[in-house]
Amino acid sequence: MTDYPIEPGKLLEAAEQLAPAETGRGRPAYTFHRRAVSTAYYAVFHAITDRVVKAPFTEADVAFLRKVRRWVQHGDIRTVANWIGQLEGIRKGSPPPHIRALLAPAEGEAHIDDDTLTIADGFLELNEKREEADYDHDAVFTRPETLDYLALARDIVETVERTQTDAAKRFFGLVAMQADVRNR
Amino acid sequence: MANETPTAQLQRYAIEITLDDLEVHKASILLDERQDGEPVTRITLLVNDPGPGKDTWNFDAVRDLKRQLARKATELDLPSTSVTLVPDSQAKLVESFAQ
Repeated sequence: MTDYPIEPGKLLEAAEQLAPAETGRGRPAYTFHRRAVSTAYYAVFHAITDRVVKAPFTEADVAFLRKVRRWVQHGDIRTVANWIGQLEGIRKGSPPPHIRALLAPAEGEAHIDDDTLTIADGFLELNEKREEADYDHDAVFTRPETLDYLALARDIVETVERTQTDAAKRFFGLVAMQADVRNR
Repeated sequence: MANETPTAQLQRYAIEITLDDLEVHKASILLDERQDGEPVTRITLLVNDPGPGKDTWNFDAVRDLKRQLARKATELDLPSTSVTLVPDSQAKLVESFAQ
């Protein structure tokens, strides 16, 4: 086991270094901005996977947690985050009826709070932007917008690491239940 | 307006939004696909530059703007949104804003 694990805080620091005002004489750092956004997304992704695996494995050691973290896929988080967005009316479609019944029961309050919405909505935004940053040659990443994405990533990581709300714990638990056991 | 397409309605809605520190001057809407083939409504907005001495816009205003647009797109039965903000000073980066 290495002593150099992936740390969300360090990824955020790296992302900030990738968003300089200029590179060269007056040349905007568009390529750096792309890498900054992608790196910021991974800070969020790894912060979430940390909470996700600690939801079911409350007493597991670090080595065990590092292995099972690799089973949590981007799509697992997207799925649950989409359900939250759909229930909040900010994503098209509707979650399956059994999921709706779980998260927003007909009687009683929905299990979605500000922290959960911050995490779910922010994750989806950065996940989309990370794809644009890595694959879309026509995508535009100006410095003001790149800095806004870095602020968003910092806000999500802080929320993920801090929150103890029941709704957020349900979110992390549902993501854990999306993950497949893998042979690695 | 009668017979206005959902994308035209969303475009009109976008340019009427004004928030703290953030004004939308032009909007461009494109129905596209994500890398995985999932439909997406790409919204590109020409907005004011960040205020004097600021590197970016008000964080809450940006979140508010994006949520308002996402809610409106859902109401219009459009695919989920991806919003790009382009400051006035960099309008030339986007072909439709360059003129």
